[in-house]
Amino acid sequence: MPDPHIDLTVIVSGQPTTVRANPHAPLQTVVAKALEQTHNTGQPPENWELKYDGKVLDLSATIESFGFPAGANLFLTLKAGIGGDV
Amino acid sequence: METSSQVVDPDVSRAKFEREVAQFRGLAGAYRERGWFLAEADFPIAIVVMAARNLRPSAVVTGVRFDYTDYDLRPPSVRLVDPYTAEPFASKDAPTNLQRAVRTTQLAFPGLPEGIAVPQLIENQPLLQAYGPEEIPFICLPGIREYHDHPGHSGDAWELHRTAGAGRLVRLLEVIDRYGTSPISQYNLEVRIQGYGQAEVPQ
Repeated sequence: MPDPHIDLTVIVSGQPTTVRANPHAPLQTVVAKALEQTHNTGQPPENWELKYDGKVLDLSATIESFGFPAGANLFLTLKAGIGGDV
Repeated sequence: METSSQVVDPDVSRAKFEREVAQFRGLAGAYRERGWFLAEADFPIAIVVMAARNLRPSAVVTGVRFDYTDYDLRPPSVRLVDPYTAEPFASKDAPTNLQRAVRTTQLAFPGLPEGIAVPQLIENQPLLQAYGPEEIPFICLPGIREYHDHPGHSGDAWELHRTAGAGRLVRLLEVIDRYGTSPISQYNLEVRIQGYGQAEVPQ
């Protein structure tokens, strides 16, 4: 039986990491795993955003619903947060 | 443009700077597709040129100058610069003010039935701040030296953001891209016909 998992490349603030994921799981599981693998524990997952092809992704949707092609790079970045006010 | 003097062991800051540059170069193709080009990388300075890739024809929008002196005891200094001269833009010349929409006060409607959505005001708030049109603006964002050095942000220390990678090259480019270059999607051209209305009788 073939392995149902897929490997996704996540670029965490410039640092690439490969996350093995269940396609039926929500995308937020990928975020949590990518942060853990890159030791980015300073901010909680909700303070990060995941982008693909210039668009911010809905983390509650399942991974398979996005239909990521092989070799796709997902960009995980710390949100701007506060700022813009002096 | 001058750099500030280094007080951290230069080997430490240099190694961290080179890690940032190496990781960028490792994915240079992916960043090029997004309109990001590493133009210069010589410790402690890196300059990235950013283009609006959604425009046709595409256009170079800005350069971004990073100064990683004392990184990561201190966050990097970041300025929007002319991509051709590397000189920082004065506020009046900046090609973007990194406008973003933020939710502000939630309006109060006494007596509103439960379950009804309460309107919330949305305000445009530029991340690029300056005190006058001739001043060199700074990016008001945690993870940037100018933000943490500002007396108004003494309660939001760099140390609170350092371990989350707030000062990393790609993270800062992502923010500038999101609020600065990505939203630029079309030219707004105006055509004016000149030469009419002259009070002369044609010969």
